[in-house]
Amino acid sequence: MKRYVYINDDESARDLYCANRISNRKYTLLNFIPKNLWEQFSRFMNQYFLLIACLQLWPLITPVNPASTWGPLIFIFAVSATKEAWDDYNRYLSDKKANEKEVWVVMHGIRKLVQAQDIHVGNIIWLRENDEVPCDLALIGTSDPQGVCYIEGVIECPSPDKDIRRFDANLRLFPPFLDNDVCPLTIKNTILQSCYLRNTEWACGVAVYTGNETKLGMCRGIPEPKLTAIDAMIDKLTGAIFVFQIVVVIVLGIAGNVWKDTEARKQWYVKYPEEGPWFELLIIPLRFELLCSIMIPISIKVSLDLVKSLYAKFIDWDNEMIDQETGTPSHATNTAISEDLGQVEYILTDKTGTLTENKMIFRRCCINGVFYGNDSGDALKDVELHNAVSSGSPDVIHFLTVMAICNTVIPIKTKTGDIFYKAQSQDEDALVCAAARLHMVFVNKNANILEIKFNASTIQYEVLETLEFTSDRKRMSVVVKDCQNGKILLLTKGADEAILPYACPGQQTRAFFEAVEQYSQLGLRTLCLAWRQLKEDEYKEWSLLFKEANSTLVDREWRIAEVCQRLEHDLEILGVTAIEDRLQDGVPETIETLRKAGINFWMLTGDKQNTAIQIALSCNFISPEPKGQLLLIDGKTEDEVRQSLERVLLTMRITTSEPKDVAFAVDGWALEIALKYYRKAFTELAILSRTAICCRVTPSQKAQRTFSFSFISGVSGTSLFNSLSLMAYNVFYTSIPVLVSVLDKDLSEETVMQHPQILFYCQAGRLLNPSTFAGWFGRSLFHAIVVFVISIHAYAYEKSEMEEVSMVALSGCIWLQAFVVTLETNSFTILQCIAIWGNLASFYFINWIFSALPSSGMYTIMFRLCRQPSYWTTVFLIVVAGMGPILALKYFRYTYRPSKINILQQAERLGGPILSLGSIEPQPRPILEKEVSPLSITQPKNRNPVYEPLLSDSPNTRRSFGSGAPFDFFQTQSRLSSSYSRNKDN
Amino acid sequence: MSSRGAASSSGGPQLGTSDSSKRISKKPKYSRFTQQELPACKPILTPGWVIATFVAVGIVFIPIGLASLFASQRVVEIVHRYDQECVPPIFSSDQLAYIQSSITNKTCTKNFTVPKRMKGPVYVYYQLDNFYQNHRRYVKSRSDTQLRSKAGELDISNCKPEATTGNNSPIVPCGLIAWSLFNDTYGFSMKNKVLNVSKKNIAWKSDQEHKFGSDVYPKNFQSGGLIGGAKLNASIPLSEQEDLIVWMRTAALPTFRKLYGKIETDLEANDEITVVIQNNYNTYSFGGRKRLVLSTTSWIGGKNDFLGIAYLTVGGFCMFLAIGFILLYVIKPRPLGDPAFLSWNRNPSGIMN
Repeated sequence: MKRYVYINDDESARDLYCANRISNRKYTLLNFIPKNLWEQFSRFMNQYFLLIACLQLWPLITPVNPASTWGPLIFIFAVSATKEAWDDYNRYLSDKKANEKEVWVVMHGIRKLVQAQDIHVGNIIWLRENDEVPCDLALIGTSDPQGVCYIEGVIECPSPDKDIRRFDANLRLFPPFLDNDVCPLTIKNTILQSCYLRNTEWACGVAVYTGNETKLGMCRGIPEPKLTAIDAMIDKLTGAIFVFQIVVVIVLGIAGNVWKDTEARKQWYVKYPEEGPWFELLIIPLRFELLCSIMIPISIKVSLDLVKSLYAKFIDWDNEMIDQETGTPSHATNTAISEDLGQVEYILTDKTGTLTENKMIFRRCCINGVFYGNDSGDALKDVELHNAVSSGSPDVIHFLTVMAICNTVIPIKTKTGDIFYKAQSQDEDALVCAAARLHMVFVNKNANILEIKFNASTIQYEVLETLEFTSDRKRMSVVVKDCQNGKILLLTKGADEAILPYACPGQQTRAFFEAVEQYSQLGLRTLCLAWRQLKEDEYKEWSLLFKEANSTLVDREWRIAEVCQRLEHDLEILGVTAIEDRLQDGVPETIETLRKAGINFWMLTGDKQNTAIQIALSCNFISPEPKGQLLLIDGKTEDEVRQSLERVLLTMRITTSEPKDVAFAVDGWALEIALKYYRKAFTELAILSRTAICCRVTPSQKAQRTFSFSFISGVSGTSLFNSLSLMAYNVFYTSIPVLVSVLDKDLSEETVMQHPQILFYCQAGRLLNPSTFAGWFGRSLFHAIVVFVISIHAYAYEKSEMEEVSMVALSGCIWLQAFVVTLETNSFTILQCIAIWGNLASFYFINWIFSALPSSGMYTIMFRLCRQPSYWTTVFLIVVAGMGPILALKYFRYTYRPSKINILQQAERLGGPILSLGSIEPQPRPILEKEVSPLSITQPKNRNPVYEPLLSDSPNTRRSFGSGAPFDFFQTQSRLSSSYSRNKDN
Repeated sequence: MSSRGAASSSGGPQLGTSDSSKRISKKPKYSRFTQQELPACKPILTPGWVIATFVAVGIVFIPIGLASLFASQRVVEIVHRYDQECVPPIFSSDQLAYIQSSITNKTCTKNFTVPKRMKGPVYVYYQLDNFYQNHRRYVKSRSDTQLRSKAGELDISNCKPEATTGNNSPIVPCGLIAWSLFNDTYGFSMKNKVLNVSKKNIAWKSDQEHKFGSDVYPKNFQSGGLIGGAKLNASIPLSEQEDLIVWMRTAALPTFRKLYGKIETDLEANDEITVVIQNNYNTYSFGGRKRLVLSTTSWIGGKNDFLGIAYLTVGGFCMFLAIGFILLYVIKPRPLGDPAFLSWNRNPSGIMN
């Protein structure tokens, strides 16, 4: 499908393509209620609650007032719907703002202001500096002098898609020129919606995609809500409880029916009718179902959402998680998955811009076999290089020329006369700056004319073609014409394997290989520079091909690469540059911390293997020998890769029992083969290995890697609880009493009487895995039995009055629950105290109020009970009988079978020195002790901050942890996505 | 034609609104809450605390247990089951026929001796076993509105199947509970002298004043084909029908006692008491049992050893645990927070497992 855009003729396009009205809204006024309800009811839990609520409408079976379910149900639906509506309203407002923004449209030569939503495909938009681009435009003119202002023509372009890196279109002008010239348009000729026009006084463009059909519009969408591990677990456990409930219902239902038929029929005072309706058998099971329904508390969803957003807020609020330079606080964009932070198992990180600063500095170079900068570590300070420059050595001059002009950098002169470079790639920036420091100054770029100032003389070059960098080609070239002597030159720079094989026959490239090797050993990024002089004919011939390739609509990228290949050969290698990409502050410490926390790292980079390994070493990504071992997977053919993979896998399997830190490195090509043919083996490898380096990967492979990861992590299944989860845990604790107090209102006394254990299910919200759940379940059952047995025996015979017994049982539950929460809470702030004891106090307060109302069923009950000594002795007995064994068990486990968290808690609270170097990193223990002991004695207070995360369930210590890791983690996430577009050259 | 300048300045696409610019350099406001720095007490389970807790609980519990047990033992209780004995031998094979017949003599006389001195007031209870007053159908079958005031007479929606008479006039009090009112009566005499049993003040004051109206009189009660239990005097308002009020306080368990009356005088040891029982109530159809109970009371209520025994058991258990933990602590001391126990200090493969 193609679309034809007739420039400046909006009549014909008006009907064909949508106007530029953007809409990110999920709902309209009309469909809001049905659509929202439909969405909410697509969750199992909500369906379940609806079912229960409907069953409760049937008075025959309902044990409680239907309002007790309908009220909360309507409330939580209203809350969710309101939130959705509010979000949608905000989207509507921002859409409206964008739609009503006024932009200049050139119509038949006259500039008019129209609203952005009235832009049609084919309109010519005129933008000024700092304007936001209202829709996808094909650029037809800018403030640069060569711009064209008024044209008519047609742009032939593909149907809208979401690939922001591709726009393969052609422009034909009306009236056709004699040769019906077709101008190719690429993504470089477009400016996309929502970008801002910078550093250009004005620009003109033809709207090609409008409204929701823009590239950006196609990319965005309402993100699907993500399920966190805890959500998934809760869903699973809800399912389990549901199954349990069904079993209970069936068993009790059958028992109830049997009892009814054998016993209850004899009980004349119940007056069972002889013949019941057909559904009679169902009534008892359904009643039990309703009673059991409180096992899954209806407010769990609201409570969870509340907890999650509170947790996200804590991230936003944290004063320690701010960027010191700009004072920007961290921001949790997705509140729904915040607690999953503690469940992170794998971090896939890009190297450039994430681990490193993406501030490139030219460090060393090798020109024609001569190494510069090896002694000082900075070639720019190397006297020999300066001497070579001033003596005018032709190799060096050529080298510098390539450095200065083989790029897409734009020099900008400020008023003071300084020159700034605007570069898309930091590498190019580093090279141009370095060239300038070596007196080869790139002064000006005027359309296609480049001006170079070298030692007072000005040299001009005309850029004929630019052979763009792509991640597949791994090199870029420019074809320039030397304006002095008319020579046509091809200047090329790129990765060594993309340049060195194309050296002209006869040139010795060994020195360059060595240079590349040496530099990458140092963790520097290398680029090879080369050039070639072209003959006039050769260029002319090639240029036709290039133009044709540029205007193909199908597979343009591939075609261009092929054509470029025809020019980029027989190169004369000039030298190798080495650029340092500095590590960001705190990267090694952060990575070490996270690795100790058991998080697995994968580094994806486009750098050379050696460079990648060096960077990995320097940021603690992998450990040096003998602690660590790095295995390589390489090979050019399928077979080689397979052998290599098998060898590595074998080593891995052996070494898992050994105290060694094994990592593997794989290059892009081998990765592709491995993923394609040996997926299973590779998956196993990925699980066994804690660290992996994928080097020489293209962005698309990076994306693929990330994708296949979901597959791998699915295999590994179990989630690790690490320091971060404690933060989530902490917040859970603070909200538990909230959760509990919300739930308490759901219960009616009668229900509690019949199923006292239900109260404890409300706490299921904080369980994290099935075994904890089983623990909770067992305890709940125990408590249920305790409450039930004690209250029926203590209140037997003449005291066996329904209201009283139920209130005694309920009081027992409430007291037990307060003590359970107390026992489970690790740190008591004023909030916890208020929540726990306030909850208890409010229980009595509310019940006293109800006992004072003559119309309520429990009139005077609570006053009556509170006066009885036997009430207090019973409650006291319930608490001690319920908590005694729990406390004993917990104490025993805490002291004699402590978990790691317990030990650290104990160590922290007792204030003793913490041996902080004990590391997860496999180390033989004797060595550890030798290393550790003196340090911990001499510096008892100087705790390694790395350790504190595990102590972090206290707010104070958590803080010190927060400063490092999570912040960087957030950056990692945000940068991971943005870095794709940025580092095209790494 | 191509103009690359502008394209290069466009940079990466920026999604959505520009709210990122708003946030720049906005340091979050400091507060102890937002920074999670609220002062906190962080107790841990040290052996000292835990053992002390158990010892303290034991020390508190054992005396309380002894006190309750003592109080319970001091209560004098006479329990006499009469449902079987009061059926004449000729009906022993068909008790149901005996109880349902209107012509059989239901009177039955029993003698018993007071074992110990019973200080007045002596409470007279009837105890029913295997009687499910907590049955759902039964519990719901009443109308509090109707009981409370005359105005609510027609509020009988919950009372099925005892809501109306055959000709649709409402029954007051309606419902199964009232309908099945217990109707055995006891006449006490000692040494051929009538022992007065007070039927006043056996119901809760609050019920008499607020739950059962003084303007509500029984109407159409027990007038249907099937007679459930006792009949009510239609000239006495419900607030004065204390037997009904007691009965309407439904029991939570199938075994329960309800107050029948109070003997205000003291009973001496070895006093011979004669009870004339009108054995009217049908418990034979469902295997229920009937007992007559005379009991004194104490601060924990009637005779009930459960609390005392439970307190002693739990207290003993706590002491036992405390001793166990002390021994464990002495025999196998284990320092708290010793990093040597950290698994990654012990187990080289660390957290990977």
